Amino acid sequence: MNERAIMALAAALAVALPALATAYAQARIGSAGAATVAEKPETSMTIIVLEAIPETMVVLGFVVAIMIIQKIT
Amino acid sequence: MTRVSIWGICSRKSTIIGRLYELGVFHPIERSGVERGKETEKTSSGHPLLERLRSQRGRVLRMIEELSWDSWKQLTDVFVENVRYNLSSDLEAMMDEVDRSLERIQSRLNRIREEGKSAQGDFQELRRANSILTHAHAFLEQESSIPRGDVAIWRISRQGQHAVATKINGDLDFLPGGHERPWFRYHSFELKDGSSFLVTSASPEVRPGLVAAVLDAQGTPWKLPFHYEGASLADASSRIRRLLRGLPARMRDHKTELRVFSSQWGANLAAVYMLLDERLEQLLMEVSAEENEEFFTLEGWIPENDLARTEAVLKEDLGDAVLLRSREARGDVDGPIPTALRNRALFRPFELFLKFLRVPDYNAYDPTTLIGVFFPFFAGCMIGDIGYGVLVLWLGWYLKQKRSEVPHDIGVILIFMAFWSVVWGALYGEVFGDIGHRVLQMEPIWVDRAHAVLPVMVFSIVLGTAHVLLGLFIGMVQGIRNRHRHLWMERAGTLLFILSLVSALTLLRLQLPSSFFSVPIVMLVFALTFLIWGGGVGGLVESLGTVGNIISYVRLAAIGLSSAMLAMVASMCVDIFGVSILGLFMAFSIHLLNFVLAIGGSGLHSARLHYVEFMGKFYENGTLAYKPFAKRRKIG
Repeated sequence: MNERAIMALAAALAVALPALATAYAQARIGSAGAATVAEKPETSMTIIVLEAIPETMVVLGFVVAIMIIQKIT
Repeated sequence: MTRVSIWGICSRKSTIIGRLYELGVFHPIERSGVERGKETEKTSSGHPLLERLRSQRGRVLRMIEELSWDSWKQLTDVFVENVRYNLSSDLEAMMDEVDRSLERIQSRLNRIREEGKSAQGDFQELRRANSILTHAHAFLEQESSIPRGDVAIWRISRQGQHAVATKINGDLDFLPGGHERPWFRYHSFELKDGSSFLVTSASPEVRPGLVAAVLDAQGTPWKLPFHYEGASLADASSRIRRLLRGLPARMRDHKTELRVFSSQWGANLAAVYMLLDERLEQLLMEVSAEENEEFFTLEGWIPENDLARTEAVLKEDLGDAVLLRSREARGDVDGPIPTALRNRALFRPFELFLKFLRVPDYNAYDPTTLIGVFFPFFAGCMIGDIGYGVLVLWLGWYLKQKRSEVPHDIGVILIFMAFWSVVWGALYGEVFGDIGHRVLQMEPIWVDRAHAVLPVMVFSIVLGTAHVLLGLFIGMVQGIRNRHRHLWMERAGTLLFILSLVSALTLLRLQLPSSFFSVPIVMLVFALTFLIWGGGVGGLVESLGTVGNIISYVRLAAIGLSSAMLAMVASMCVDIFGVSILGLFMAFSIHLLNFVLAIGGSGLHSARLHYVEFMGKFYENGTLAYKPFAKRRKIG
């Protein structure tokens, strides 16, 4: 496998792996959060923040992927 | 918000409270043991009519439900006021009138329902009888011409039918015959519901044995419906068919009568319900007022802007019967002060974003206007397409016409989003992806985001930095104003930390001499001092988290890129499959998906940036929302 192919694979993994991790984390936080908000609506803000935290992983992964792709091109 | 005390003469309590209710600006302070709109020991025993009024309101609501009337949105103020005009102004007399009306309506409704039920019952019974007679029709026709024949229909199981037939056929040879031999013929059938029947025709000598055999086999004789008893089966069959043809029309008439009755009385009852609810609210307020022998007092809040008008109206309408005293609100003396959101009409729909949260604290900053500025800007940046922008505009316009508050507000927000989508679409040169470029030779004013990702990414980071710094600045000012030392120091420290980072990166980029770096270093020293002084180690961690917050704004570029790519894929479908039904269908489907994702994704992510990255820096939850003693109805 040549270097460019490995870099392309790395870029794909940089987005894919955090995306999977985020999906898993958000599913767990979301289900627990929905139950919490149903019981205590005043916790909405906290739950939104908790639900949003894992998303940053994908955004960072995306930044890394773009940096790798810039290197390829 | 102004703290007010209202004194009034007990003999005019009802009028004064009624006037306050109409003004709709007074937020009463709940006294211990007396909760607004809730029954307590004092309120339930405080007025002789209270319990009756509450129960009558419940009866009216039950009647509305019985009528299956739910066109609340079609009620108008004029209609409600018209109903009020026709009712007595004296509460007790009004309740008597309503009681009498309820009885009349109930009795008429019962009559219509009984008639409908009877028609429905007749229809079911006749339909079943018709079905049985239709199955037996050919046999009945054939057997009715035979003299001395005894024809009957039995409801009996399949096994029973077999047992009866075997028994009677076996007995025929032993029966004494006259001038002709005894006979027995039968026909069996089964209905769709699984019940099976036996139609028999036998000579009179066979009849006693047949009845005994059927009863032995757990069978029962089937009888014609009540009205046709005594008629022959063949006759009844044709009469039932005739009647069945007319019954659906009778049932339709009943349904129409019920519908007309419901729409005629439902609206009236709904208006009565609203009026009773308003009277109940006023009565509860009357009961909850502190009073001595001659005077009563009410304590509460009135927004500063409404105070002068309230004073003037009370003075003009009630003269010396009422006295209003006011003073500036003081949190340390008065406890929680209610927060009322007051924004320009243009940005008021964006208050929707705060409905998911607790109302901001009285002394805290209301971010509605800033959300109104930045939310559509970010969402438009992500959609970034003139074509989609026009569609969002159409959707927003459609929703804006709705009378309900939430769809109307969403409509206005979508119109804002549409404006920025079109602006960003022009900057990116996108109309439904690259269709603008292909068909109209349209070129981007700024950059083609599908091919030059980096500039958009850098721009989104710059935008994020500005947005987060603004949030930190508001947090700092709020901390200073409310004398929260920890808060303002932590925010100031984080602000300086980010500024030092930005200035250091700028200096590096511009390759300026190292002496220039003394500025960011000094800023960093101040930042660390403030952070440690204000929030300790937690403050340092918080400031590092802010860097993550800024990077989070890259999603503006990321989601925009995915939207642009998906639109290009849609156009490529036409390249691959040609201008065919399949190609156009594929392109249309992908554009539709992209449009839904564009609205949902951009709205969701833009909201997240506000809730988490921006408002997290300054938003303070309050404990008490301004809830005026006012009419709850919001109708045209």
